[in-house]
Amino acid sequence: MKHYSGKKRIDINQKSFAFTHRYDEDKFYEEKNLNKTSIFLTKINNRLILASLFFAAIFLAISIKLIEINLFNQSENSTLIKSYTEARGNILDRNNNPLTHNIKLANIRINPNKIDNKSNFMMAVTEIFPELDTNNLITRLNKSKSFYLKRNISNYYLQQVYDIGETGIEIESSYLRKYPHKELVSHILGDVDIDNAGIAGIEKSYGAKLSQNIKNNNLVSSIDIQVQHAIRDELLNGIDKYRALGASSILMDINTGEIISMVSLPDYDPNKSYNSSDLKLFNKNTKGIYEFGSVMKTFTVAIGLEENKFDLNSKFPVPKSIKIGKDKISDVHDTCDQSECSVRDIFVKSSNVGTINMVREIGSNLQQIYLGQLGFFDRVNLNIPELSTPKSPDPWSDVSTDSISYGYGLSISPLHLILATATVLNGGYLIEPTFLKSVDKNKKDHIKVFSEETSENMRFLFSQVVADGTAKEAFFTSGNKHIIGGKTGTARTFQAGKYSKDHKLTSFISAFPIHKPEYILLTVFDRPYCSLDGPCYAYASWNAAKVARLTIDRISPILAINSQYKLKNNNLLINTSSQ
Amino acid sequence: MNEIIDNKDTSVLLNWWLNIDKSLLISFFVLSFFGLVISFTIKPGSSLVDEVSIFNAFTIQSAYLVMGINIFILISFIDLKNLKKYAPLLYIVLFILLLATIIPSFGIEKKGSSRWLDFTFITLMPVELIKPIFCIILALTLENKIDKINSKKYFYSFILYILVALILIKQPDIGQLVIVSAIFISSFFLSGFSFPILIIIIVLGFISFIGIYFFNSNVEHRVNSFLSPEQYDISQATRSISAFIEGGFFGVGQGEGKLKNDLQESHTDYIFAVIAEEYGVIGCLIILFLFFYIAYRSFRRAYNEKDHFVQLCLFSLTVYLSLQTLVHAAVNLRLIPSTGMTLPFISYGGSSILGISFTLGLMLLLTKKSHN
Repeated sequence: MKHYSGKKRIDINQKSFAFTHRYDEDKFYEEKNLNKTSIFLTKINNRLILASLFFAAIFLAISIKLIEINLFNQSENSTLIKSYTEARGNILDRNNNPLTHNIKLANIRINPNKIDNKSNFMMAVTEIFPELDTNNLITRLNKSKSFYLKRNISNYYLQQVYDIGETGIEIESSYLRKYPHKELVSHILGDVDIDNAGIAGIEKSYGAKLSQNIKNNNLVSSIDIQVQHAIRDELLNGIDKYRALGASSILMDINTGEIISMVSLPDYDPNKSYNSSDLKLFNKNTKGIYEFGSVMKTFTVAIGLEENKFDLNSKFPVPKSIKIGKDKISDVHDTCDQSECSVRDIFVKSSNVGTINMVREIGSNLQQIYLGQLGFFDRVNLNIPELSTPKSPDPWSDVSTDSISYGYGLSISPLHLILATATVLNGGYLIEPTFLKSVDKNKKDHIKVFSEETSENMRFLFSQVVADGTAKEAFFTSGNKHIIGGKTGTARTFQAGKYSKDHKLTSFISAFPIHKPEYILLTVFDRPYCSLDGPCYAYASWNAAKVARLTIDRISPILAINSQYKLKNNNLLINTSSQ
Repeated sequence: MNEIIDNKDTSVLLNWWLNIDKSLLISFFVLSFFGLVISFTIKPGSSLVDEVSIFNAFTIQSAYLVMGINIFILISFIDLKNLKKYAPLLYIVLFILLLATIIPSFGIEKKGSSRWLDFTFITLMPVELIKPIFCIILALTLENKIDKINSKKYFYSFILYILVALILIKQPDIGQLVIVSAIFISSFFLSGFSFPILIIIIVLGFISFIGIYFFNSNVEHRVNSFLSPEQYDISQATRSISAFIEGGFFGVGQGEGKLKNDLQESHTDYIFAVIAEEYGVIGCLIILFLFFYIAYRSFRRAYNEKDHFVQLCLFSLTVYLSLQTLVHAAVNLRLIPSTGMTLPFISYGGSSILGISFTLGLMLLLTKKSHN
């Protein structure tokens, strides 16, 4: 487009002042444009050069930083490695009992250049440490690089090495991490490598804090070692009695999420974890994912109550069997005498058929929303490395909705289960699990998923399971049965593409004191069989619930559950402790 | 595009071979090779370990890389005219996908941000794909046309930018916002926009990023843990630095590094540190040099180019590729706070590889010797 204005136009290419040549307007604009283009191009190209220099400078800076870290950071480097050899902070239980120890030992470093008589030295050293590989030692002595002769040796050997009297022997102090409780807290604490750097459990996730070079680098954990021992002992007895493959248990403060005890059997001795099998190293509670069966009915009922889809007395049809997809689902025992049973009966007698009818009232959408809020689709936020992500159905079909309502089709870790159940029972608050002893018991800033009323109703249902339902038998003679609420779950394990009839995962989740819960306990048995004394059933009510009963009877004095309970209700006891 | 590929006429291939920038092509292949080698050693941090086994991680990653190589070669066959014609359409589709991430029923939320779309067979991160096309669209808008004076072009491109930026703030994905902003600023810079005003815009941009710091707790946490790592339990960056030191000049050897067990995001955000630990400073320098060489070739081509559109495209694409590399390296070296930026073509992740192969394809296309 050409712009014509009234002004006099000047031909910049005009050769003389005499207007001798013909004025070519088109040529004038063409040249003007060309001129403009070349000015623009120069400007752009200048900017390109500027930008190139800018980027080249950053590339150079980063390369220099890369080299600099390795060349000039040697001092920082050595402190970084040295910090591991300083005494590592100890991990304490909630009552300040140490769960770890550091034994002061020594590393012997050899500087081959300063060894005067190498053959003499060789002889002396192999005499002290006959297990040393002589060939390897000779090659290393002939190089100039210094090396570790032995690490973590005791004073007895150290003195002997001193006595060789060579100047090339360098001694540095070292600390050997010891776990005095051996297997007892293995899965929680984890382990360290030869440089005292954490490689599993709390040792790894809190490694930065533990290896800080400050005066108090101890870590006070939420674990109670006495409770931990009692629970592990009962689980071991249970494994023995019910000939189970494994077992696990979590005891958690239902309001704060503090993990008081966490046991996964089989376990290992962290002092010699190098020869432990993967099976033993595996933490079932946080890393394993399972379909739990009936304990998941808790959520179906809680969602229905919260959304006012039904109340405790609403009736649902409970036919002999019900079709979901292609399969027929039936119940183990009769729920009630009529063809329609109340929500209470369905939950207390753990009816699959009734629960499926309930979830059909609730609908897939609400179910997914609530299960999502309860954290069933995400990794749990707990500070240890061994965590797992649940497996949920994809796509989520109607069959999924039905089967998840009574505990199949959604694989979660025991930790997921206990957290979500805690939310149902603690007044509806989401809690975050922690291995740190916390002082803050304030729930106000927690997200509320269920109302107080729903939670109260669920606590009632849980207490009814123990008083009158699937766990009645197990708690019949327990002195604590009036303060306990629970839910049993027996799931067939999924093996080789189908649900096994013989192999079961049984669980019992219980909260106490049930009227105002403080603790929640999950007990899980992997593939138990019937006990040798008594009828041959492998249901949760026959093993997991019975072990839970023994466990609670044993730990309630340590946790002072009964005294608190009576103090609050009857004012008969006076709590004389300072707390 | 299909017509060209279906037509196996040798003249097309020959034409392509004669016109293509071969050193750029070779460096892309070298980059893909590195991606493959490193994918062997990738052990997805614990965040992935359950979903895919270690073997799977390698197969998935190598499948994406092979797909990426095919994509950048295919794209390089397109001619400039068709690119200009179809880019807007593609941009609209990708923009709708990007928009879908912030619509609750479509987007998937992970760790507090909804950046992903789930298409059963692949989980897509649309922003990775939109970045290269965003460069093209900005170039189309800002292109200097002699016979046409369009003073509103700056306004239009600003609208384009704001739309993308708002979605990224909503997601939120501050790292990607930085990259998209950089693409925008660099396009403005090379469009001949007044330099002083550009400086003012950059300053304003910085101020708004500081604003984000105060209003977004996640960003605040990251910046704080950068400024005072000792207050935070496990500082990823400190761990990353120790990997650089442990690796030394030649590394501890493939698969021997410990970092990937320690850091959850080692296979994406901290892959550079993994490389440093296992292949040493040498490995890092080779990869840095590769990206530097790609940037150099691309800038040189832009310098010799007369077509302003090609200059603009090449420039912004290169800035995007280089900046992502540099930011990733800088985060790993603890020079800047953690941003969650992947290393192009090397970090684990399908969307990232697809987006980068798109970018590489466009660079090959634009650096052809002749566009006729």
